[in-house]
Amino acid sequence: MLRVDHLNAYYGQSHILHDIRLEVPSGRRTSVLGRNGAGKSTLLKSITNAGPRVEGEVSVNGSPLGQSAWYRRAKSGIALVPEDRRIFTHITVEENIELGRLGASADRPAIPVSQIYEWFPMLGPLKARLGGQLSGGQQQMLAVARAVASHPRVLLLDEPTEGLAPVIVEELAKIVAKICSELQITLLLVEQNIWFSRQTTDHVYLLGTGSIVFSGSWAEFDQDETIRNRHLAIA
Amino acid sequence: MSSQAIFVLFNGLASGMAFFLVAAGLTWVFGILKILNLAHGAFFMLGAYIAFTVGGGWPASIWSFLGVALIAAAAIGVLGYLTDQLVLKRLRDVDYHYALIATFGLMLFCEGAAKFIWGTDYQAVMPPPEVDRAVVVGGSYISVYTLFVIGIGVSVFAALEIIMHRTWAGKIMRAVSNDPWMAGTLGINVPMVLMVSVIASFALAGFAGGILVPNQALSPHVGASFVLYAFMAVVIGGLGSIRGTFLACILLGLVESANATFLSQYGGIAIYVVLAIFLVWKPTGLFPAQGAT
Ligand SMILES: Nc1ncnc2c1ncn2[C@@H]1O[C@H](COP(=O)(O)OP(=O)(O)OP(=O)(O)O)[C@@H](O)[C@H]1O
Ligand SMILES: [Mg+2]
Repeated sequence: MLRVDHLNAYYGQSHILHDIRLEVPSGRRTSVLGRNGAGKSTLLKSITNAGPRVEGEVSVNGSPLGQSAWYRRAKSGIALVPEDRRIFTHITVEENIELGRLGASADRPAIPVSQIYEWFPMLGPLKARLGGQLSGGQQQMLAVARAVASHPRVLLLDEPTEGLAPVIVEELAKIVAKICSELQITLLLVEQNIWFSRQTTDHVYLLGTGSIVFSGSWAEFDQDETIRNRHLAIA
Repeated sequence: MSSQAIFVLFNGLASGMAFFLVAAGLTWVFGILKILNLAHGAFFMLGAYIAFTVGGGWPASIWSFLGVALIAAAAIGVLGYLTDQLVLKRLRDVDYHYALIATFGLMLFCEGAAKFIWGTDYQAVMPPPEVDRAVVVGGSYISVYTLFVIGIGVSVFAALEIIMHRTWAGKIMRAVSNDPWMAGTLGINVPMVLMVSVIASFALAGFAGGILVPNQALSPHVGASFVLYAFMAVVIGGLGSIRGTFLACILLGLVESANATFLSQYGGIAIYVVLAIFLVWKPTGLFPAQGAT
């Protein structure tokens, strides 16, 4: 379970996130939608304490993370795929995955690399390539693969479909859904691609400018046209 | 090959390896902390003094000599830890200009401390007896100490290559050097990796001081030329690249040695010509911006 309570986040003097409260029950999958600049990426980085100054409480399966540093969050079971992927460019695909496995712990044993290639069949043939020699789409896949290799309890995905061809988006939706249910992962997904969000999650938060303006199921989201029009620039 | 060419070759390789022993730690810390440690040479000097104080001027054997160099490495490693806690740690997130000024200040401090402790008189350390002689190679007299320095330089390079490319520690180090934020996000203890790198880099400087002190008239300015060449090698090699630095050190050593033999009336000029050529031809170095490799 992921729980965020009274979370405020700041970049320097700018107050970006206001009193965010959200909860994703164990093994459930939730989307965060919102316009460009609403604060979606800031929310994910606040949960891992990896950038903005953060006040408030984040807890995983009931244990509060307090002020623990960003590099200790992986050991608490959180894995983040950041919006810019951050693949290590001058080491191989397989070494990238192996580094991802370092975030595992005794009660969450690292996922064997062979299992990763089973989930992401397109990565197997690329395993000896340098990260920097992959296409944008291949890097996206690798970023997700590297994150799940740590056997996370909570997976944070920041726009994983950005720049992917439609057929690959479909494939990724299947992969993410499959891995999350096999590993009982609690997923918090930030997406612009509503189709992908619907495929992979069953709950929606809508982030206005820095605060949550809607929380509900997809059916409830579909009914609430006003809020959609006001906070998303989509039909 | 003429005996003169053989002489130039061996002397050049020995100078190159001496530069490398100093440059290795410099480029490592740059690759991983992005800090150019101007005080690196001062810690080399302190390593040489510690070796002199512990081992005296007449090493009994090559083993005690190596042991003393390792003691110097350990002592400078401890100073590295203290320097990291007191100075470098505070510079992690500030503009690199501050880091340059701070490490320059640290260099002056170390030189002052050395004058205070050991005075300004020149001291001398002899090579250990096993290597304090010459052998004839292709008609040229080569000092065994020269061969010893070449051997140590190549061994240190091989060890760093194995650590960086064949071990987990190396993979982690390269990941931190490439992208510390992402490395930390994956659960790597980034502050610890940075601290270990600083300690290792300082220990290398101390070890170099202990190994190279027989070549020098020991004073608080010992090795100023090594340090200058080490900085050049780091630039030519591509800041942060251990392989590039190794190749650049060999090149600079050979150029310097050829210069001293064939153009002795223009002392040291060839090295600056080489540096200038590289700055124009490959301003980012032989192995540019890959982080610690
Ligand atoms: N490193 C930073 N320093 C200062 N301000 C920042 C920083 N990163 C983001 N911001 C600001 O915080 C606000 C929220 O940015 P954030 O990246 O969280 O938006 P987002 O919802 O992820 O947008 P997008 O859909 O474009 O990715 C924006 O106003 C942005 O300008
Ligand atoms: Mg974003």
